[in-house]
Amino acid sequence: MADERLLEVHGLRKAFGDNVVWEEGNLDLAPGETHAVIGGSGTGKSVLLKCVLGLLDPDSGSIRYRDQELVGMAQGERARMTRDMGMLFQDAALFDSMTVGANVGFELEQMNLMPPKEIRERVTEVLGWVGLPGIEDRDPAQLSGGMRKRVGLARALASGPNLMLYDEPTTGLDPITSDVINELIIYLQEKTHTSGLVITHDMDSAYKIAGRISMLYQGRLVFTGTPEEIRTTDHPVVSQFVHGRAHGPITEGA
Amino acid sequence: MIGRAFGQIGAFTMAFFGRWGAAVFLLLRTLRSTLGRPFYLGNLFYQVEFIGIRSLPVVLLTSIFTGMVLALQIFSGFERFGAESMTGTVVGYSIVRELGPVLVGLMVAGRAGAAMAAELGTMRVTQQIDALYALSADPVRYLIVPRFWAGVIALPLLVVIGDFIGIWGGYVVSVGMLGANPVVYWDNTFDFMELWDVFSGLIKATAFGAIIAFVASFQGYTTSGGARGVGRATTSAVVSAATLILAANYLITYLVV
Repeated sequence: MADERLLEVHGLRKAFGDNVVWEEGNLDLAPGETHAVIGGSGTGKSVLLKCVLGLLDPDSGSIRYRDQELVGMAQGERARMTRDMGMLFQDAALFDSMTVGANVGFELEQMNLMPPKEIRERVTEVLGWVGLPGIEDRDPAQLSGGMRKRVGLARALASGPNLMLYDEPTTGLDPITSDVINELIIYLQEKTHTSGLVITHDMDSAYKIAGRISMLYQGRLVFTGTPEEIRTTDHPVVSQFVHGRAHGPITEGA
Repeated sequence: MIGRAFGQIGAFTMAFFGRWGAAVFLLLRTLRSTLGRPFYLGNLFYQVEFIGIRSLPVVLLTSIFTGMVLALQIFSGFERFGAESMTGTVVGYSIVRELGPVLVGLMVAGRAGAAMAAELGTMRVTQQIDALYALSADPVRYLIVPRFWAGVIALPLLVVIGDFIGIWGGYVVSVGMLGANPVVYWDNTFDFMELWDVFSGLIKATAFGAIIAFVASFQGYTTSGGARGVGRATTSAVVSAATLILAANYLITYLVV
């Protein structure tokens, strides 16, 4: 059983001062699976991604990736694990001092993973994947929100990660562009056989791209299920959230 | 193992000394990261250009006016007891040992330090620093190490240029406007100047360069709270760099001069 898991998070706890955002996080991810974590704004969902990636250290708990414990791992080892992951940041976080091409090729170039000519070819290839061929010389500031997200995707995928972390991939985009991003994520996951961990509060997006969905509430994942199970559950908290009701246990503190 | 131990020491230090501890920890990390690979030489050159070459106009203006006003003041003061021939000596001495490094340091803190803090602060709040990490580039190594050493390299170079221009400005005012004897002025400027005078100024410049680059990097790197946070980081970078420069100036003068 355990060897079928790409990622296992167990007993994750993380607090900022008195604000406990993760009381006990338990979650696993099979190779090729996409798992979405939903929850209200400001509940600290993205802390999970930051802990997996290594931007934050959890207070306690275990995060195992490919059967290796990430928490407390030596820096060099940890960096190698991080290289196997890609992250799409909320506002894409493109380097505005560089062109789109330099952004997408950044990891390949700075890690010296391939000669410059091959990097250029690879950049062209992944920009083609996200449907933005030939924009290598553009400045990130000239791009629209949806294009920035797509370039961010291309940048994360350029070095061929096995696990993709998506931080609110559709937030701030109009419904059509959101759907384009959703389709792109599905297409790229099939194409590159990556697994995905998605943080979102956009239910349409979660239903569409995730095989399983978990809901974060008061520091715990209170429910995990397929999109269908989430949609039809009578769990009061989950039901209030996914149907977007102003009245219920979340807002009235049950 | 060592990284882990460092991390624990770091966490301990931070809990104890708050922001000062965090700054010391970041400084140690910067120095330690300098030795390892990769070293981003391209970023270093870019920063030397940014801190050094692009600060030249402001440094030249500051130095020439300082030299000119010094000559004006000292000439008229020394005239009262007939020592105006010593103007060149005093102008040179003050610029090389004191005013050159301090004024250049303050101007560069305002120009390059502010820009550096704003740039890193913006990168922090737009998650570009996190993105560097996610793309396997150590942000300290990629951003702070090149800036720190660029400051250390660029400031002494700027001060040497500033010294020359300042002394020349004093010469122009004394000889051109106040009628001093050009040969006597030059002789008195350089006969009494020791190599150590220039050297002590350059020691100061090196320290100021480190202070400006590190303080600005630290403030930018630890920015939080959006646009307002970037504004705050920029202000505190300039204020704390300037304060530290003045304090360090006294300390270095007291210790080595």
